[in-house]
Amino acid sequence: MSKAASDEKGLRQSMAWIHTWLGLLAGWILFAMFLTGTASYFRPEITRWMQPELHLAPVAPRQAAETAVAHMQATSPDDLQWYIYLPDDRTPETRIFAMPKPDAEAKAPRKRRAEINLDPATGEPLNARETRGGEHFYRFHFQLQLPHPWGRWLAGLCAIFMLTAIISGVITHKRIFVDFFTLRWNKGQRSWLDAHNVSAVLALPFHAMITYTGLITLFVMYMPWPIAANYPKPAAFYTDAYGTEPDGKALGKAVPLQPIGPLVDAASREWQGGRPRTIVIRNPNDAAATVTILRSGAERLNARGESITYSGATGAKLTQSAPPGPALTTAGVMLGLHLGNFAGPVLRWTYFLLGLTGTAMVGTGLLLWTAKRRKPGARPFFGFRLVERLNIATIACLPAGMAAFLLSNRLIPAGLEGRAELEVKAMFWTWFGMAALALLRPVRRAWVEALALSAAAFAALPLVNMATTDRGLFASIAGGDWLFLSFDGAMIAIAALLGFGAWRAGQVKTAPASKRRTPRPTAMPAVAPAREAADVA
Amino acid sequence: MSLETGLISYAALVSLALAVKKHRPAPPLPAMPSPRTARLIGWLLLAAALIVAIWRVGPSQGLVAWIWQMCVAGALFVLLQSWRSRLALTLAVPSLLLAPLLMMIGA
Repeated sequence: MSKAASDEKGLRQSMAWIHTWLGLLAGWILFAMFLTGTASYFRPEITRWMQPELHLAPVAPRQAAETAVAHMQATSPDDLQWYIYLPDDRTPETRIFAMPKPDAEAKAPRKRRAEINLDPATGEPLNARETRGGEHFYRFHFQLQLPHPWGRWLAGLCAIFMLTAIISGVITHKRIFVDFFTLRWNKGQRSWLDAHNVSAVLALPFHAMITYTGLITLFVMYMPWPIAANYPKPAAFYTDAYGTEPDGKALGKAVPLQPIGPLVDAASREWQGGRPRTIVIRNPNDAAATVTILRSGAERLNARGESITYSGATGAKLTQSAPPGPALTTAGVMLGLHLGNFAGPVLRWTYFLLGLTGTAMVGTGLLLWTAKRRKPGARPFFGFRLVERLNIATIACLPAGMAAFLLSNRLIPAGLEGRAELEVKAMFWTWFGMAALALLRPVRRAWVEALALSAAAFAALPLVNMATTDRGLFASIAGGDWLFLSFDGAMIAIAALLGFGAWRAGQVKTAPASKRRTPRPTAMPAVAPAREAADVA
Repeated sequence: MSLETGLISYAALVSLALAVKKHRPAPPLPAMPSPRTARLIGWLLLAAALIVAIWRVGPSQGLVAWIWQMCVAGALFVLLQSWRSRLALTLAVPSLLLAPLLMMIGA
């Protein structure tokens, strides 16, 4: 009996150790990944907000495909490949990535040309400000603004730490069901522990899912060896797995490309009305031209869509993606669960709130580390001060950086050369600059001031938007512009949340020595006193 | 995709909280079930939330919507309860009433 009990205690202790230190080490990056990832659930919506001059009406896929191909035929008919994203409910414009034929003479690597954005109704290029839009938060969330392999590797490492922290945290937590609904305010360390437990336990299925699927999404990169051991060339694996043809070579015999409209209709018929989302045209206007049409993933959990390839010269159907096996379906559903592209508005907001819960879990965990080790009166050791400062830099300053990204979109002149890069720079200069300035202030003041500045930056967004565009809050209400209305509402709500945080951080200082009441035994009904305390505060 | 599975989950979680002694309000709320009944009602409502979600959007998306909205309902309930405990508990009634209303108008 006592042996088993002490074994259990030993296990709990070692798990607690793992949870504390892995969580701390990856915590700051994880906080940034969670917060920007949460924003990415509104990736197309953020992009639309960042190009306020665009007012595009929805257009059927067939018409968008026709105008897109007409534009490409008129501007660069001899490309190697056109990758065309058709508009959908969330992205109103047509986006095209064109790849020119490799130049046999030039040794320089093929340059990627800029993305082409078209009005789907007319095929005219869009005249909108240059911006990275929601894509920036999305990319940062797993590439961390680092050079190519390193950002993804670091993100993967942090995801592994997160997964470990989730498992060890569940083992360490002795009172999952007893404390299931328990959140007590104004009790110092106890409150941080409650907040950490509640945000972790109540949304545990989401946290486990999002961490695991995030890791799995890039598993081919993290673990390339199974493919390397079984396939001489990785491309052969993809042909095997996804049934995509190896890229065909042009024959050099000119044959005009078949009209795209009937092919889009044919694909839609094959999918019983499923919506085509992407069209890949390879070697257009050649006898070997192929037109691959990919199905939209917006209706189903599985994010990997089906595809059909037609001959661009004859219009005949060449291949169709095989029905995916269980492994691919699993991978596709996991990716779908992570991205949430299948989610309608209500479920997408649910995803957003769950993401915020995850952010709160990481943030409260970081704060708990310091709350546990704070000794009143004693001079804190170096590691403590480091963690405290990094916490301020991450939790209080990153939101200001994100707001600065959005603010700079409105404040940098719309026609300025290289403005997209300036927006990105605005985010990092604000974030790191504020973190550096916060070093000059005492810790308590730094918390209050950084949080207040973040709140002010978000509160400024609706005002700046009103001043610089014709889609301000009142115009949105009058015109029923739901996207801009929700965006303003969300900014005000975030500002209020950060302002509340700043106010609470200030409260702690005014409470003398913050030891007004000794912690009660946990078995007592804590609800009523907590409420009193909340009323007083 | 609608809110009703989340609304029912909210009522379910309130009911499960009422089954725990330390979460029962000191002057009892009117028509408050006993802990045993509250627990039974809670689990039945969770099951109902699942059925409603599956009925609305099919098994795969229904299961996802059920779990995710349950998580959010739980987090909102605990936040609200830590601030205004009785309000948080009482809100279970309108949220449960709103659910069939939403289903009827098919929103």
